[in-house]
Amino acid sequence: MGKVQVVPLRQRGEILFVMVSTALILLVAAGLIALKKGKTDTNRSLKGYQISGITGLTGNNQGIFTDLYTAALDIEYYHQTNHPGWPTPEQMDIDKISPFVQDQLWQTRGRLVWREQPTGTASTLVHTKAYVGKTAQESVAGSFLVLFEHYHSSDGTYYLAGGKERPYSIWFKADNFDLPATISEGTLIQLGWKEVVSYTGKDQRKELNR
Amino acid sequence: METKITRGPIVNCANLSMTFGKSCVLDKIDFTAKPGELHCIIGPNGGGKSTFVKSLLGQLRHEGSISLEWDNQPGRIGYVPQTIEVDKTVPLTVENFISLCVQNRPAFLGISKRVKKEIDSVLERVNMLHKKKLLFSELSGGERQRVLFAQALIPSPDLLILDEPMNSIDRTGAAIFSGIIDDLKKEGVTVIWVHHDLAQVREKADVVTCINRSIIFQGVPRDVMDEKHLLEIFTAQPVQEAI
Repeated sequence: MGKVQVVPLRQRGEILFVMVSTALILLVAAGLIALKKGKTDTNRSLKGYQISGITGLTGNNQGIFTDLYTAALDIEYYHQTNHPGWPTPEQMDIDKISPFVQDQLWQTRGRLVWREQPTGTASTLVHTKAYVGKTAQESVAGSFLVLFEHYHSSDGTYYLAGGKERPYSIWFKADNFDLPATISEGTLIQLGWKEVVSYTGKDQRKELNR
Repeated sequence: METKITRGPIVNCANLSMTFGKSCVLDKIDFTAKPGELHCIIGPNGGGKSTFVKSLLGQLRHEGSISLEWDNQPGRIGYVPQTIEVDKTVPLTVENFISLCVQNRPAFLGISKRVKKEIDSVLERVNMLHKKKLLFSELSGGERQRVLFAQALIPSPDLLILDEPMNSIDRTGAAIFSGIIDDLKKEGVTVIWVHHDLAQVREKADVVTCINRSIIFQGVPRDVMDEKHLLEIFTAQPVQEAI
């Protein structure tokens, strides 16, 4: 005769299963994050004269850089639709385009004074343009320079210099600065300017597939 | 002399108690159900009948002991719950529902060939075969009870525990239930039935136990189910005042 004692269910098995599953998911997730982190370390691919727009700037400078990055698209578009004209800083102030607009935010972010800067290289086939924003308060924000550069062939075709992905680059100097007579990547580097690099999702994917 | 077939176990509870927080729900219950016997549990609402059944099934923590004494190897236990709610949006047919209860394979992967015949057979037994393709949520209360009863018959149980399955059931359904339980008794199955129909308990039960936190009375129905006892249980006031 088999006597069986009824023992209340303790659900130990289920609890154990849930805990083991949770631990497994966390381990896999942590492993994947660790693997991915190694591959997306953007600082590794920065050149000596570059700084990261994400990790290399203070909060105020990051804000100015982001505004400038967006404004550069508008400036380039303006140039293409009003060829060969470029917008003036005063015009962009009136059109409320940050960081050129002198609003409340501008007051708290170093009060950069913007001006057009001759590049010394412009011609009918080489279109270059530079805007410099000089900080009034170095302790709050640094100075910025945005350099536009593209070419036209004799039949009018628009193209960028070899290896460039954008028709503009943004440069940063934390303190006093000098400007070269001819503004180019090489001359700016010589005078201690740093190119600010912002990685987009597309850049990240390229980095991963490299 | 007639030899009684015994297939089910002897169910034995000794000193069974249970508390939820500070409230004592069952207090020192001694109970025995034998094979081939229909043992009915009656009692007022909130008296602890369903709690008692759940402790028999090992679903709740209890004090005291509950044991099943089998003749040979432990057999099968069938359970018919009081009721079950199925969301109307769940596309679960009657046969899907039973397959959920009796097969390991997930119901959405189809019904296992092994149990298909058995499902048809038990649905026929409760006269629901013609409704096997209907959604479970579309069934009436009585029809659902028949399906719940049917699932407890696969595989054929040696101990059958029913928790008030006759709620909302129609007369035909009640007759079907009654007939099947008679058959199981003859086969030596131990049947424990929580029931609220006192007339049917008096007619069908071999032994009745009345629970209202503790055992109020226990024995053969015709001996213990007298008017005084029943008034004692089902009247809110003390018996003397009620009379």
